[in-house]
Amino acid sequence: MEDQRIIELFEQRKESAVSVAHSKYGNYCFKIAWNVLKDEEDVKECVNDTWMRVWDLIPPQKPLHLSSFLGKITRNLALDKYRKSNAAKRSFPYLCQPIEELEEIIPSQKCLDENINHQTLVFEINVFLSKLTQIDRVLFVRRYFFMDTTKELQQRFDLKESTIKVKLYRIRKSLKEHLIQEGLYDERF
Amino acid sequence: MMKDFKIIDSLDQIDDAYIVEAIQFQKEKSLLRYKRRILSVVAACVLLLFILPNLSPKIAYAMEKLPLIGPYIKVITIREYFYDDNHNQAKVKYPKASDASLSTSTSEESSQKETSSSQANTSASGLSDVNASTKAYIDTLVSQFKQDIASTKEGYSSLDVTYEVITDSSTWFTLEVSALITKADGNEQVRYYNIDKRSGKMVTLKDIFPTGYDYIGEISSDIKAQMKSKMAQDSETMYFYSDSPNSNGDFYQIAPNVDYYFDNYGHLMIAFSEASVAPAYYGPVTFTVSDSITSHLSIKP
Repeated sequence: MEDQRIIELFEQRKESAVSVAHSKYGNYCFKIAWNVLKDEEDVKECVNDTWMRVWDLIPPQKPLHLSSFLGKITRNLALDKYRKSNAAKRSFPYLCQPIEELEEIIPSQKCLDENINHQTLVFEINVFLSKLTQIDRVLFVRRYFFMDTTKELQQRFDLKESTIKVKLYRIRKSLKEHLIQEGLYDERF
Repeated sequence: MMKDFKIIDSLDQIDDAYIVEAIQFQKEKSLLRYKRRILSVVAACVLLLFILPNLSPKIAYAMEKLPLIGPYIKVITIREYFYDDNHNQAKVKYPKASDASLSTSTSEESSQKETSSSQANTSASGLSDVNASTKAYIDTLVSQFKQDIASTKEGYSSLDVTYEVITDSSTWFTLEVSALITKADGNEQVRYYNIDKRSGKMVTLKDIFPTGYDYIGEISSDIKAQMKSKMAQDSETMYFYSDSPNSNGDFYQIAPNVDYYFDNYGHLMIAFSEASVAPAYYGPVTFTVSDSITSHLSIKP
């Protein structure tokens, strides 16, 4: 079914909206949550929470791109669950590799000023992405938004795994340099 | 140590265009794969028809002696549908299969082809059934495409339908119809149409098993066992299956008329369209049915 029609079903408060959205985007949301959580029960719960959140948000919101709208919600919920789950088992936390990679280069606790406005950071990340080549931008988004594994990226981009890792490392370093340049990051702290 | 994920969390708010781009990137790669496949077929044809005969007199002589280059069943494009409004594109080919032995030929050739035609009794219902089925399927895709572009106006979508003969032996014929449908995400559907030339009939999966044999249950269990085994061997592998009929969209059992074909080694292959049993980025997925099940086949290729 067309995305516009699915959104209309939510707007009309039709319960079928959830089942239709699930049949079209269930696997997509499952994969996003899976990449963060790697636990089937948690992932299923996360996807169910996504539909509840969407039910609450539409209306009044009317997303232009349903796929990215759903992706953002699922990812956000999965990260919350990841955080809570790891807080509960401090001794043996499951580590999501893409999160670790980004933290390794830009440790947020240490270096990102508490007072930095969230919107400013989002704005600068968008500026940074706009300056990348298409392949680097897609690689970055696939790795750090969709949290794809390097093996999946290797298949998708038809590149060696080592090339993928080197490219990602360079992009992370460029992001750090961009944030330093814009005064959002200071290594001295 | 707990982290506050400032950067990771901020990525939740990146521009939608970058997310859509990252989704579409796979589609572009699929299109590239299609183009590569077509180019490799064209290159192989050029090599076979033009370069090889000119390189070697022996090959040229041998090719002259071939009674027929190509299959007994001829498949041609009888209709094409193109659409392009800078936002939406469609490129669709309608195939039509016909008995090659019924085409005009010399008397000597006719007698040779009569022999193959008697083996390959394909002028019966099988050909007309395949032609009607492929037309109905492609008509549905085109109709859906037209509805989509009418409803989205300024959206971006595309439809690319091609076909390929993947088997044409003296006893068996299989036509593959591939459709790449792109809206928010790319989706590749593949259908297979099989003819048993001995009976001249189009044969579904049900037809190749004896009456009373629970082919649905046996094949479904076999496929789920393969899914579980692959997932156990590799933590990155994922399939969506369920052992309960209330599967909520996950794979529980095959449809009675699920798509199938026989590969070059005679293995029975069950085909699933993209995203139906595995993540979309896997593309269309196939499973080889175990020999313990194919030993029950009542019709073999």
